[in-house]
Amino acid sequence: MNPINIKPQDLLNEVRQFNEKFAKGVHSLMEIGVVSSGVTPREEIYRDDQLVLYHYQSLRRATNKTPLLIVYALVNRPYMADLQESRSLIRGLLDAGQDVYLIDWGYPDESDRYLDLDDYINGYIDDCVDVLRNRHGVEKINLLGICQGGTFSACYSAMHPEKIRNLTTMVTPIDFHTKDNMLSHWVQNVDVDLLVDTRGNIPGDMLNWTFLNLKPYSLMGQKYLGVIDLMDDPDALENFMRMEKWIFDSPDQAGEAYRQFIKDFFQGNKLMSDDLVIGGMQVKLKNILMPVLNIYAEQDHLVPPGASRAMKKKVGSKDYSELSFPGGHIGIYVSGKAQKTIPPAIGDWLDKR
Amino acid sequence: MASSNTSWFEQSGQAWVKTQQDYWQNWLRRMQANSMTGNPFASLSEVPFSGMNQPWPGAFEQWWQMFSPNEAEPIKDFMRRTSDMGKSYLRMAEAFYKASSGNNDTSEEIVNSWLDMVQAGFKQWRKQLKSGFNVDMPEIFGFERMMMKSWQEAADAMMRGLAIQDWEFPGFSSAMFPETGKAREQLNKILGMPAMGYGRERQEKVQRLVELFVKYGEALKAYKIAFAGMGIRSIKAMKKKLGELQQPIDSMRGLYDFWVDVNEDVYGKFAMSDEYRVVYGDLVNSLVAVQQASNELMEDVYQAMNLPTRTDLEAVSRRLQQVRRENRQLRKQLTALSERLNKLEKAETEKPPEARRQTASGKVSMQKDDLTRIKGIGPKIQERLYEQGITAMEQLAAMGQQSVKELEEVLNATGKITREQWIKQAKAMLEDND
Repeated sequence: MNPINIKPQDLLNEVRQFNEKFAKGVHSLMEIGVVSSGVTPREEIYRDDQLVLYHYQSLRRATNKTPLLIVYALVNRPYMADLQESRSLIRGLLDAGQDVYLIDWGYPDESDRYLDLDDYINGYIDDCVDVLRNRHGVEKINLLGICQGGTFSACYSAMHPEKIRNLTTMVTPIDFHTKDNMLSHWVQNVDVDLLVDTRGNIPGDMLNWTFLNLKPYSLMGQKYLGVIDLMDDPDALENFMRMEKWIFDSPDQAGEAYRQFIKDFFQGNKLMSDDLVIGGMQVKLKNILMPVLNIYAEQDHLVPPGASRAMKKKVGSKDYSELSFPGGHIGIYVSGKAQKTIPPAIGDWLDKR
Repeated sequence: MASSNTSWFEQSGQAWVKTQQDYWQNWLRRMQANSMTGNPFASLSEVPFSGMNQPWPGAFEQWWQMFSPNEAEPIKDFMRRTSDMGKSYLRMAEAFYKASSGNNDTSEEIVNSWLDMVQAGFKQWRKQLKSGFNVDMPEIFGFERMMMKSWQEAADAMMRGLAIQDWEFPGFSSAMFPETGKAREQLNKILGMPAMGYGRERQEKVQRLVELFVKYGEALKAYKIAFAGMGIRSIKAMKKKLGELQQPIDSMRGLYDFWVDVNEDVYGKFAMSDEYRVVYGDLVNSLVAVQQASNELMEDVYQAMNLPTRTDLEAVSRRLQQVRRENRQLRKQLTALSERLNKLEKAETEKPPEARRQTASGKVSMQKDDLTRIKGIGPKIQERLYEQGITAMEQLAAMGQQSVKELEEVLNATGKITREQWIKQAKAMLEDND
């Protein structure tokens, strides 16, 4: 068989179509204008430094009396969880009868240079948890951590188990040394002290460059070839632009927290060896005795499933469940399939506990 | 001039579509005319942009330039990324088309000779790098180059701010990449200058910076060599995969997708190799080291000019963070105290009147908790805690790291509170009370 059979005439036609589509697509683009995201109505209920704690509003009354606090990662922005009406984890959780709150970390600036993990976890998160405990008059709340926010949530639950009723983690790294973890592999020889001492806060663009280089041929090239085919469909194009905006909207990272996160988690993998100390407190996952729901994505190129599933053997909880999603790190929030399955599953799991 | 109901953008966009149509019509005509005789690239004088080395991506770029500057920022960024991809796609299409027009080879032969050419390009590049020339990646489809370019752009942005300029050490900028004999000579001159007199310290720092720069150049070269190796492997993999195809590839888009799949796979293995971990780490570390040395030089200048430096700013940020932590502790203590006060007041109003009177006339004494219930606190320490105003279990329970440290200093007992876990004990007791 001749493996390649492209006729010159066809090729020329294809290239002509490509150019025309591109030119026309630019028109559709201009019609889109400003792409909005973060669609569910919400109310600010607490603020500290750059942090804002939001309460999401729903037409229906929450059936679960225990409030649910979502802790997002420091990397990228939390509107990923509420991109648009039909693709919103938060909307889905509200529909599932949960009373949803979210921590928005904001954009750290030079004044946040010395924020460390103790400030983030035992400071900010703990304050938000207390705000919700007081507001609802409950001893314990439900915690849902996303990606790095899940790692923080696990640490928090291990240090303050008396305040957490149920812990849910989504695409959350626990074991940073699985063989398929590319980010971790790259960072092993990087002198993080030199980097943070020199740069202070770590520019968001730098992280972005790193993330795109995990799959450069698809993420920097092929993806844009694909979008040209979408350009005559305004809705699809708008969705694409919304994702695009999110991907490149990367806050800088507070220097000290970044240093600790890279050294203790990526390099030292201390959560696995039980050597992690945050703010003078030992972090042992076996102190997590409350029910745990661990959700991971099977095709996650950022947090490999193995990195998440390591939690099973580390937590002390007897009530540990896993939910596996056939998709990627981002798809787990935004795909139609995820929208239909993930939030109801979380709601159902929480209602039973 | 844009009329009221048609924007400049729409007009130029329509013009773009029209020009494109003409452009491609021209190509189609040309191809039909040449289908018997030979290569349509042979004589191109009446086709616009045809004087360029690569007319397809070239024309694309020209249209793009005509129209892009009017865009709003986020859309502009997106369009730039899309057009970068478009160019690399067209470059591939053009290379393939050139090779396929005007000869009777089968597509497979064309692809193979084309892959050979690309492989030779990578090999040539690697050879140049290894013999000391720190040259850029050859233009192949523009894609691998784009990956290197995004790194280089970030690095260049940093380098522009470098603390040394040519006026101080003539030839410095050309010495940055000392691959040519002349630059190397210049570099040695800078490094060999005896450091002495008034500017001695600065000169030493400059020499150190130059040394670090050379190191960065070496690291960049090593990274490129590893990258070239990956390029060669990806071509080999493409040849192998082509032989294993079940269905022939019959479109340019199919070929492009095939190319992406194979490359992503080869790259994935490369990126997980020990080799990559080392060259990547060296590249990042050596660049950051350059910036650090440069900052240091810059700080001297700023200090001399009485301007704030990064060190100054960091001192302020560090202090600010301490104050924030103290504030947080104080807030917690305040909340604990006011809750306690509310409780007391409530109890007070609920007491029978005579009891209330008695208290009102009597001496008001602040309630003191028995802190010796905490393991590690004896009567003496308790007395000293009272002196510090720490009288309630809640106060201990609400203490943060910073306050603990300070209290340990006051008590002259470094590490004692943490070691004996007073805070934890206090918390546990409060919970028991509840």
